[in-house]
Amino acid sequence: MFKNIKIQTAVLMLLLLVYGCVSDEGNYNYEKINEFNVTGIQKEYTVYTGDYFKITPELNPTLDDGSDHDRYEYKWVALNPAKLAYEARTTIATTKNLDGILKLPPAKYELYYFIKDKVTGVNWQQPIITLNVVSSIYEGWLVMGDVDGKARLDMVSIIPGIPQPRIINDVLDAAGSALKLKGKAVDVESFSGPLPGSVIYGIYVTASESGTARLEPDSFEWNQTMNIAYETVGGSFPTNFAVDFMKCPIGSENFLYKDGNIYYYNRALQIRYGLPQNKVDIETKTFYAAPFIAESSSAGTPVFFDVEKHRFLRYSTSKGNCSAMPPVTASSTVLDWNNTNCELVYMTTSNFNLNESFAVLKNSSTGKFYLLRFSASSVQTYYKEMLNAPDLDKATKFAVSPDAGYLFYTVGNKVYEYDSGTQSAKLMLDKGNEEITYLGFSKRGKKEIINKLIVGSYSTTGKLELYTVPPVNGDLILESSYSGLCKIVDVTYRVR
Amino acid sequence: MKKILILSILLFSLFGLTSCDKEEIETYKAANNIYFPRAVFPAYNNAPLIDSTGFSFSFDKADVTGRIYSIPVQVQGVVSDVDRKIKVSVDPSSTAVLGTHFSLPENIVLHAGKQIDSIQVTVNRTLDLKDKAVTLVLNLEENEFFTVNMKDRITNVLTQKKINYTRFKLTFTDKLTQPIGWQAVFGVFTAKKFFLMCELMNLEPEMFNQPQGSPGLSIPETLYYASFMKRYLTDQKAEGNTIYEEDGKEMLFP
Repeated sequence: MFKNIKIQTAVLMLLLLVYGCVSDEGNYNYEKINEFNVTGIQKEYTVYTGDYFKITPELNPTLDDGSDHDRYEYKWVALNPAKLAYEARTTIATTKNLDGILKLPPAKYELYYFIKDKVTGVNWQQPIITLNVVSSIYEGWLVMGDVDGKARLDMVSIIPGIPQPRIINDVLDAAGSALKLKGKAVDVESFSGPLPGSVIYGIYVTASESGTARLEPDSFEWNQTMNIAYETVGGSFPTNFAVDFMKCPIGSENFLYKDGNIYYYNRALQIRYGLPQNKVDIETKTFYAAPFIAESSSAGTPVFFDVEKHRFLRYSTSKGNCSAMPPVTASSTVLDWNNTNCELVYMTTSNFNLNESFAVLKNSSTGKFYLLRFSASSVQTYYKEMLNAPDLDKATKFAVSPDAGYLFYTVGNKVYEYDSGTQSAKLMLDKGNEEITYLGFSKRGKKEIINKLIVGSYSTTGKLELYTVPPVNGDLILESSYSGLCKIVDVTYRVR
Repeated sequence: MKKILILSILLFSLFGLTSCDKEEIETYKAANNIYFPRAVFPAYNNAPLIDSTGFSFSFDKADVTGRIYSIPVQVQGVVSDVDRKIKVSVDPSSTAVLGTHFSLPENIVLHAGKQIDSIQVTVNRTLDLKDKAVTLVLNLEENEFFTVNMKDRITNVLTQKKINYTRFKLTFTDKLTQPIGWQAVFGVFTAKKFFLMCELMNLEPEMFNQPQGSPGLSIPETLYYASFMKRYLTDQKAEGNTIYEEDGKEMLFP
């Protein structure tokens, strides 16, 4: 019985298999449709806004005898990825050729070219074209400095696709900005997300009397309501409030420093500049903060230094105040955070070793210098005396290289590089009769500039130079030099 | 054993035969009712069912002279392959005047092949709307294509409150009233103050049509707006350009 069933099942299954032999009646005669082999379009264009701009593509259709002139529909769409989705797209033409005055505001656009074949109904999209719509103040170094003791903002205009940078003296005047700087040059900073809402990039210029002012990033326009005092909550700031310096970790947040007080803004947490943040949670009065901020990374803890009690304090962005550093046992290689017995000479967060912070300290009793390094989560990674560093006590400016973690410092016209591994400094630059007025690294911007040592020097006019920092204490390599500037006090790179 | 097999196969084929019967499916044969579907189907998920609504021109830019407002209509019944006329009348209780405040299209039809269509009411932004609101009441009427047997439904048995299926009220105005997002920290509401604030800080007036705590209206944001305006008014005054309200009083943020 079971044997019969088995055989029957097997026969049935065989029958099913036979169906596999049925010939397939489907249509496999693929027909070619009209395709395009578009030429005459470059991958990238750089155009000045308001200039005449033309792209003449050759369509080279594969199956078109050219009899129907009205066969295709065209669309040129420029998309600004930095903007919100609903306002990012602009259709700039619906003709075959892009031909006319380009009326887009300066930005880096993705340009799409669509062709619709009305006969087949097929839509063709060309590879995305990069379209840099620029103005003469599109991108480059903003240089804040003094000329005859008065503040002036200069710009080294670097336009993509144009090899020769252009130096624009007094760029505010050249751009027709309403902002007139008064007093001495103090600070210049640029970062993204300076305000909630539609302002996507902020350039802040500070002069001692006219105060800290935000510029419209494309036109450098300004009116009084763009002063930073208008970005604060509470009425305690004068309208011409001028910061001593500001420090922005990566964008959309920022620290202001003024006369021992630190103010904080965070776009995502909806925190505005308001009350001083240099206050310890269990104390009633604010402390006088040293003019250095280890701003840390977005995930780490910013660290301040109390000048009066000689202690480090960690800042909580969500609580809006400071608390004691995590407890450590002091030893020859570990510093007691809360009782340093030191003056803070310099402090910053660098891009080195996952945003390690560097602090140079001078012992109040012995006068010896120490270098302290700590991680973004406030763990001390290095604490040693600084040895073999000539004229360190006379150093005026410091900077930390992001690649190797070298500490650079200047004395008069000389630049030294201190290596915390070998515990010794090497003379890297001697500018002769030129005075060094600025030393720094750019933490943000393009990769071409981010690891370069920036040196500002002055003899009769100011000069901005960028150096590559080679490993193993190799000699600095000059990459770019821009002269004819003001006496440099601060620089920032306006990125795109 | 084999018999059982054969018998059962026969039996099952008999079952199969029953499905060879052809049966006509009954289609809808009753009257075609026309009605306003917003009273029956919500416009979006969890939306309220409505037989009246309204809007204000007050946040619109000055060059806006009118709007076209679409009121959906729907048929309960068959879809036709010809355009069918819909008869609409303006209810005597309507305070909006035909030709002045609004106009209706000459031909109101339910287009061929459609189950839902709309009445495009042209609403004019007339000057008298600045200080009053008017209501347009539209009734659907019976004609050769449609009946209006689907009248209304009682939504509250106690008060006998009804929701109307064939009557739709549209109220509109150009009067600027204090929006719900206006906060105490801004002081007394005036149109001039409101628009100055929006202009200076690049705010959308529409944003203030949301309750406190909505995007752009959190407590820190509103405090900031007030702080900004206070500073602006002080600075303008210091420069000899004091800003006044329409009634001549100085503009004030508390």
